[in-house]
Amino acid sequence: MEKPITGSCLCGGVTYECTAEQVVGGHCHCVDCRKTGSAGHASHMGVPRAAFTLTGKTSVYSAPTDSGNTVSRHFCPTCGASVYSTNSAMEDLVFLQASCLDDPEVFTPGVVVYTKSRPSWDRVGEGLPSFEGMPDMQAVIEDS
Amino acid sequence: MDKQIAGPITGRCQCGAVSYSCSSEPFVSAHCHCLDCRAQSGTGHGSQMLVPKEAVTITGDTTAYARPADSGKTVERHFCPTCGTWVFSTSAEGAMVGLTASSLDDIELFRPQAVVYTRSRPSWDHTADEGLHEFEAMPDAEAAARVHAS
Repeated sequence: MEKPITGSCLCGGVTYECTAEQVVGGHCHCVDCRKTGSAGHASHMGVPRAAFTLTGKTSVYSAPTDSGNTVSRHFCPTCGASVYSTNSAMEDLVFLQASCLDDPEVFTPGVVVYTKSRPSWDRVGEGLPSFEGMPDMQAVIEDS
Repeated sequence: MDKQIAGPITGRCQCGAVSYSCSSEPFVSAHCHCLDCRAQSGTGHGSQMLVPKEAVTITGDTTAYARPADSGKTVERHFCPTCGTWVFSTSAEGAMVGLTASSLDDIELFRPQAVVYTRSRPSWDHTADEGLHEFEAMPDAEAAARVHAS
């Protein structure tokens, strides 16, 4: 890759760098993902954890998902921006929120998940492969 | 308005420590691609419903982050310090509170009418139905009134 992927929260108290390419990217309409932001979905970019370096301190909120896994959401305690999350089922990845990327164009969505809770007014990712709930992510990664 | 909502508008953060009730219809609802809204959105835009300040009752403590907007007004973004959910924003000078669509108990109560700050819209973020009012930056009061009436 030409240059690392970088990002920061709104106030700049938390920044990160990632030296590897996106492994998987998508939009999620599940209620918990929605609530980490403000819209009808959140947009996540999965990158290798080993290539990810965080600077600054985050607060973490962990909650079980309907699949029984635990998602831990890291946000800036000063400005509240949700910076990234981890999923106990995919320990090798961290999921960067597309919202905090310095250049959002480095994000390439390839899938839409949890369409069963998609608001009627939210048409993001139309035309991408879509799943009512959480698909087999390993299969999605292999296809992406 | 032809979009009558029965009963108060209610919402809460992910962990439930912060909740609200609003006794008024929204003035206007919109998606905003400005960099500040985006940073707290989880995606490429924030979605907010503007309601009159005096109609909103907040329960629970929030952390506020204040920052000047393009307009010169200082926007305070309030989030739950436990789970990080951005619940609402406001400004000392303004008469409105912006409730985030994501915090609504019934997200279908959000009925977007406009998309603002399209000049900073990511190429992958086309959420809204065609036919909504679109503005490159923040519309002026006259344009906002047209959106309100739509």
